[in-house]
Amino acid sequence: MRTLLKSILAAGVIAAASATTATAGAILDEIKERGKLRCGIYQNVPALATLDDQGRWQGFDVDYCRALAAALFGDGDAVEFVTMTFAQGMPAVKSREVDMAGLAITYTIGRDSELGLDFVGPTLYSGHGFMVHKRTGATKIADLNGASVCVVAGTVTDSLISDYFSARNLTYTPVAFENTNQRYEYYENGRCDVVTSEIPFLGTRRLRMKNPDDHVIFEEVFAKSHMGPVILESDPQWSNVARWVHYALIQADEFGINQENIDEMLKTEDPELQRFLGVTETLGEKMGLPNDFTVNIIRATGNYDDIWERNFGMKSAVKLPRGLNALAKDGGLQWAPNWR
Amino acid sequence: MTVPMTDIPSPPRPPQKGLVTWIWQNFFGSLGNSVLTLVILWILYKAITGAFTWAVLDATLAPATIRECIDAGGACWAFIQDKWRLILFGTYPFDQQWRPALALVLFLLLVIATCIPASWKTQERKRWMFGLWLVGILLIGVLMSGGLGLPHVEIRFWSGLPLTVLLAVVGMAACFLASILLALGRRSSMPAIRWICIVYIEVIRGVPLISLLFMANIMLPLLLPADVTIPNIVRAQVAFIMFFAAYMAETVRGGLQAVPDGQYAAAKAMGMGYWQSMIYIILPQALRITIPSMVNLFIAGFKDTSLVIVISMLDLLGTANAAKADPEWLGLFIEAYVFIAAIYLAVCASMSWYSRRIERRISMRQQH
Repeated sequence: MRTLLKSILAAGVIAAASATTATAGAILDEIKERGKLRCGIYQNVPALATLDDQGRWQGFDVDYCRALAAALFGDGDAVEFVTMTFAQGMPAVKSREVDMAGLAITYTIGRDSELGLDFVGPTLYSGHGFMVHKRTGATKIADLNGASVCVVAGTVTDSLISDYFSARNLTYTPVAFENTNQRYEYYENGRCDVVTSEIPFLGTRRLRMKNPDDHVIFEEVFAKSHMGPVILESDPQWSNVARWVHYALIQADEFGINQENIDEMLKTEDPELQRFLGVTETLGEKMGLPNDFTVNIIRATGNYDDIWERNFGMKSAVKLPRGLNALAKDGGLQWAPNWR
Repeated sequence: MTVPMTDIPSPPRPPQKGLVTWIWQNFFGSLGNSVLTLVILWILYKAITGAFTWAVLDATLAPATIRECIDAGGACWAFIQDKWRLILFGTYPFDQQWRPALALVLFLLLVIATCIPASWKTQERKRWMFGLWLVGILLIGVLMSGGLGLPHVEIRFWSGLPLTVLLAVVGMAACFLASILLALGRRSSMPAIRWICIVYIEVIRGVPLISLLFMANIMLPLLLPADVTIPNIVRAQVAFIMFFAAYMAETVRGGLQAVPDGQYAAAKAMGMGYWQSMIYIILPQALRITIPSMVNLFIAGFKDTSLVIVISMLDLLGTANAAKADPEWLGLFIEAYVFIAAIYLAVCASMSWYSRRIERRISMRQQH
């Protein structure tokens, strides 16, 4: 028993040490040497990560993993997907089991500063809302006093509701679940009065209920939400790569470069486009990537708009407008720093 | 005074019963029985017509959208028509899925050949069977993982039915052997071996399978050096074998205890050593006694493979869950579960049917 304890302690110490002593380029080099990105994704959360008819992973987070793999290796399929629950995600990044967790984790100051994690994006802006059974007669958040609320244990939503309710002297009974799908099934069967999530996810779920008209989604948003992939914050070079892959998707959207016109765009004389696509200068190489990494990303996944349309937009079952996630020039919040 | 034999009255022949009388006496013999019969008939009627309406009358076939399915109110078989390959083969590369399919067929043929008693009649046939299994396993291995010109498919892509069958078959075969050793160990006269076996069996039996799976999946990697990675299929498989070996060992021990002491003494008197007497005299008798409870464990084990979904593995139940998460079909799940329930039922029912056949054969042989 003692030796077992010892080895567990030793493992903990080694893990802690390797997390703090990692230096510039250490993680990036390790991933490159492995030749494969290890990406943590949900198992079966619609629009984020699901298996299609052919057994291939599809979803918003899945596409971010593919984009990153394409940037690193020129191959969007050089990803090993590891499925996990929300609760497993951040520990898995800390223990280096995965390089990146694409679990729509909300960006908070606590997670960023205390946990030693780095956030990419936000890749997805939204707001938290409530869906209730129409029979309850509730029409606004103030009506929810004393209601039972289905939440997923350990998520930010959980603590947001508790803050919001206590600040307004309202009470509620949380009904906690380990997994998202379960929560909606129990809500629909009446285990709780209210289910809460980001509004786009509530909309998707309502579409699929037996009687969509029996459920009301409040227009009131009780908290803002901004999600993105999470990586370890110990190798600045690796953090840069992850961050600029996101910006590349946004920038390509701004330029209007997609899978169809990429070959055409490569022949452009526009110096801005040439710099972005790595035709001139060495922006990619300076970051430790192939110089044409943006081209590889676009070939693998398309730009941000393509990813959005495929998973949330009109080409998907969800049919959501871009809303807050539109480009800044179209009145949204998505925006990329200068490419020079 | 002697009574002639013919005077002894022959027992009265039971009166010839018609079907109607038989039904009347057995189902409506008393008021209580009549009520019970009528209630059960009513429940059966409701259940069967309900199931038929759902599965056939109100069902929707492809091509159909989920809205059409929900409006029709019955089973949405269009969903299964869309998803059956995902449910059966999961993440195995789509254009290569003929390989696990062929592997399953090969395996099924091997099992059928093994189950036919005639295959084991002569020494020569036995040798043939061993050869067939050896070649079969090699072929299945090549089909699943690649080689001989087939592209390599990593073990982490194996999922769905092949994964369930793999976990069950390899698990059962390995834990059958392990359980015999454990059972013999527990009855051993050497205290060290006896105590190791007792502690092992009691500890494992006192722990739920799920916690063993979690240990194998989460704790084991923490204890191993960072550069050693064991695929999670292997980890789950080992946890599985450890768990069921403990249970099966107790079953085998029951069989060993049921063999009369005279058999042990007789084996010794023949001058046989420990292993010889076990292999040729004791175990064949002991294992024969344990067939019903052994099959019971096999069936439980086959179904318990579905617990690997708690460590995010895509066995048959995992792929069914994956199918129901598709945004296009969100909200449907009964159809997927009915589909895999039918597969589980077919496998488990054939196992118990075959075990009943073996029992009958053995009891017939013992009467002769």
